Amino acid sequence: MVTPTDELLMERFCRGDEASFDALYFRLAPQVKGFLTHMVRDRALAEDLVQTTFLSLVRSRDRYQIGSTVASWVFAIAANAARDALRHQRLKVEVSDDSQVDHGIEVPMGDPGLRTELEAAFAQLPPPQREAVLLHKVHGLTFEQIATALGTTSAAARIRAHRGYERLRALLSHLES
Amino acid sequence: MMSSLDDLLRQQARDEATSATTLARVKAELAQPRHSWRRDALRLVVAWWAMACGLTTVLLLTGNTSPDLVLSRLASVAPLMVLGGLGGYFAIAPGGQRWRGALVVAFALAMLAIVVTRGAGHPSAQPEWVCTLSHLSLGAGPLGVAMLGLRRTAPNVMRSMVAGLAIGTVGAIAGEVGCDQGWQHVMVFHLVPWAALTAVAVLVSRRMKRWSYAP
Repeated sequence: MVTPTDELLMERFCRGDEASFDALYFRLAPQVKGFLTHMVRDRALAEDLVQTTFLSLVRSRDRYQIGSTVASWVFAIAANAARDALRHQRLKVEVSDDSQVDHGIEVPMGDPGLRTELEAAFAQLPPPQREAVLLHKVHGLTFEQIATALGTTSAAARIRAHRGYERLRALLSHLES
Repeated sequence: MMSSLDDLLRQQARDEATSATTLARVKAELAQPRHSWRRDALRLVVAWWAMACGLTTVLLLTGNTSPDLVLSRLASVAPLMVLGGLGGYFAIAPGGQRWRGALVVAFALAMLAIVVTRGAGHPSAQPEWVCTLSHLSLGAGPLGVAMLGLRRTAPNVMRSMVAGLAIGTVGAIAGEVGCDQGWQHVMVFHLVPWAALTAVAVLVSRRMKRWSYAP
């Protein structure tokens, strides 16, 4: 049996098939949660934002344009929710001790020290660059899909990701030597 | 090793609890009447249109303007009517970021045009700030309707700006059909409240709690 695409599931959901939403949720939620955890660096907040993202998908399903990539649209919603949450929490984050922030890092695989350094470098990227690098490198979206998700042009998404990589390279340069 | 396994099991239990809560909230949401962005856009355009047309009629009926003045300003009022309608629609519609960019430019040109085409004008017995006050009060109703619509979309400065500029056209139309003062008056007492309404739309929209984050 052929597995239905995300787009087909979304189309069915828009037509009223609730079961298609469940399938879409279980398929996309882990990726969305990973993206949000890296974006907000707070596991509990990321879980709330996953819920907000999928509630927004349900509430605004008539805004989905049939035929467009569902993953880009869902990541766009997640990025918008994360940016808004970060804006509202900025003051709180600025005054909190960074060492007490739950970075939401999953159980370390491989070299834990290296992973921690990578996570710390990631956290130093400006949110637009972090979004672009995450969506490209971790979630495998094309620059066209990233552009749709971030409401920008493909060229701008490419530049953001490139600057993010350059910044990461500079932050982790001591590891090369 | 044991602690990692415990962590994994705890995480799995948390993930399952989050999924269950989300799906339950989604089911509750699906039981609600289905929302339509088209209805929001239509509501905003109708509110805006009704204000603009109703106001012109009131000004004519109360003798605060003359049919001749209205007809002589038709060349500036007609583009404002079209821009206001398009602005209301694209402030709410999904996608259309390029349209919004083009509309901001068109609104700026419209602002310039109503100043340039005004000429010397005629002095009025009313204080000049009456125009500013009318401009702001006429925008209040459509601003509320616009904010309700914008609450259902992700925060977007261009979207809020287009909504604010569209709302300001109601006052601009009132200024065109009900005020015959010179271009300096228009530049200060008509354009400043128009810009102020736009700024309010952007600021309020940025701070309000969203119902949805869909683009």
